[in-house]
Amino acid sequence: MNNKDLFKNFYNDLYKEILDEYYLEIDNIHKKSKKSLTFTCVLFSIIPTILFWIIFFNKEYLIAFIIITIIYNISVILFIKSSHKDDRNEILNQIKYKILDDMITLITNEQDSEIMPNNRISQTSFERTNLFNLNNVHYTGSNYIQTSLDSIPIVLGDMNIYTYVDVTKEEYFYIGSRRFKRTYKTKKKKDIFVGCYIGSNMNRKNDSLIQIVPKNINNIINKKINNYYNFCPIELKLENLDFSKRYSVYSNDEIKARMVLTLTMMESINELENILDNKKYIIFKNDGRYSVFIENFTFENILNKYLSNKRNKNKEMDSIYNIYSDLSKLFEIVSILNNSK
Amino acid sequence: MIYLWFSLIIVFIIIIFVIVNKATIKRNNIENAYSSMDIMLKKRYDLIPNLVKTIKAYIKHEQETFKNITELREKGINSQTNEEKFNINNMINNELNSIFMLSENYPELKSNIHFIQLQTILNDIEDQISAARRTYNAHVTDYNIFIKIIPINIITFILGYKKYPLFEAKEEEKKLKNWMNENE
Repeated sequence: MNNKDLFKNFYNDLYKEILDEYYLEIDNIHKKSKKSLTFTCVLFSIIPTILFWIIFFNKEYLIAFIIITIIYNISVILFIKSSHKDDRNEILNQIKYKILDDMITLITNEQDSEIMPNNRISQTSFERTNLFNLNNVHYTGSNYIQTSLDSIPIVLGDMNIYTYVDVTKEEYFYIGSRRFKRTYKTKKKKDIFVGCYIGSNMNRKNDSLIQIVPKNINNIINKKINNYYNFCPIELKLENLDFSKRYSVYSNDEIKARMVLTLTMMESINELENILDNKKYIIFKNDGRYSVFIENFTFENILNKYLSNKRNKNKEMDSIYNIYSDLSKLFEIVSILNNSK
Repeated sequence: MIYLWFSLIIVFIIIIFVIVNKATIKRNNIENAYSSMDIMLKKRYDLIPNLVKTIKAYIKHEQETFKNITELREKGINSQTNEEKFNINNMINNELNSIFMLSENYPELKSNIHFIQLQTILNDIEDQISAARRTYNAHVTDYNIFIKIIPINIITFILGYKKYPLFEAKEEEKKLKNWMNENE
């Protein structure tokens, strides 16, 4: 179902109704907003103005009276308008996540998907990957999603992994006419990885820890901070040339790692490039799970790009198709890794 | 002048040490990979009598095949050189392949729990052998290339370093693996 027309033909009519329901909420907010704007304007603008003029009116200060009245009324209207805009954005935001939920349900055919926009993957799950030097790095995350594909549980989420690096700064100061230089050290936040995380289970047993790291990492901090040798002391030389050009592979047990990285599995991982060419870190953990970190691909970006708060209802189906298409890529990656032997 | 010659000799000795050390590390890797593979092959040898016993109860007129595989097992256990072991392993694959092909005609055998269990274990061992074989071949290729690089090849030739044989998967192994995967 990657064809746009097919998607539209199958889901346009069906999904249009659902979208109409969502947008009905926004229309209601609009209607409410108009009513409440009139009411609040009467309550907080017109009535106080009349009272103010009756009690304090003085002919000598007529211009001042008029200016104060105008400023007051404009402020009240702007304040009321902005509060209604917040309400509208809140509703739009909710709709955004409802659409995301619908698209995930559509792709996975799983009704009980759970989306937690403010949550991140647990510290334990992150530590189990052993991908980055955990003493020096911190992480934040959002859009934590729990779902399943073909009865295999999957977790997904946005992730920002960062560290603090020492930076030497110079400062000049004057005492009298003489200039002095002072150098001092400070900490600066540097991103190591920004992207999305996928975690799922393999379809077979695995007792080894395997780290598959892209070869063309440009980020120097990333290169420095990755301590593959601490957890995975063996660098594997594999038979697939395309795969070896793209990735460096580290493991703690060469033979067990080769049982997972079969020729078919390497081909499948090469295939992932055709689906999404972003850099990928793949970790097969010794408890049978695996994690994929995809750089510069976040749910937040997808949603903000296609479902911003200034959007056109008539073009909504195009935006939704784009979300569906991007999400499908993620699940295709999971499907390939799950089914590869 | 004498210092120059002295330093050149020292540099030459250091180069020889480095080459010998590297070759020794690579040879150790091969030995390790080989011993891991040997363990897996032994696991398979241990499984063959059980397999033959189970199949014999259902297929009585294929005594020749059972005899062949039992003899090959004995030969495999007693083989001394790597090449001999690899050849016998390929022959065992061939025999196992024909045994499993035979089992296709016996639905009762195919549904026998003991046979299914043995098949699962054998499949697991085949996976391990395949991974160990790839590891062994990767190290052998690395070592064989290293000792053939000019001018390293002069030193390795003088010191008597020889090429290791590759353990290539024959058609029988692939057939057996496919059969195992299909019947998993």
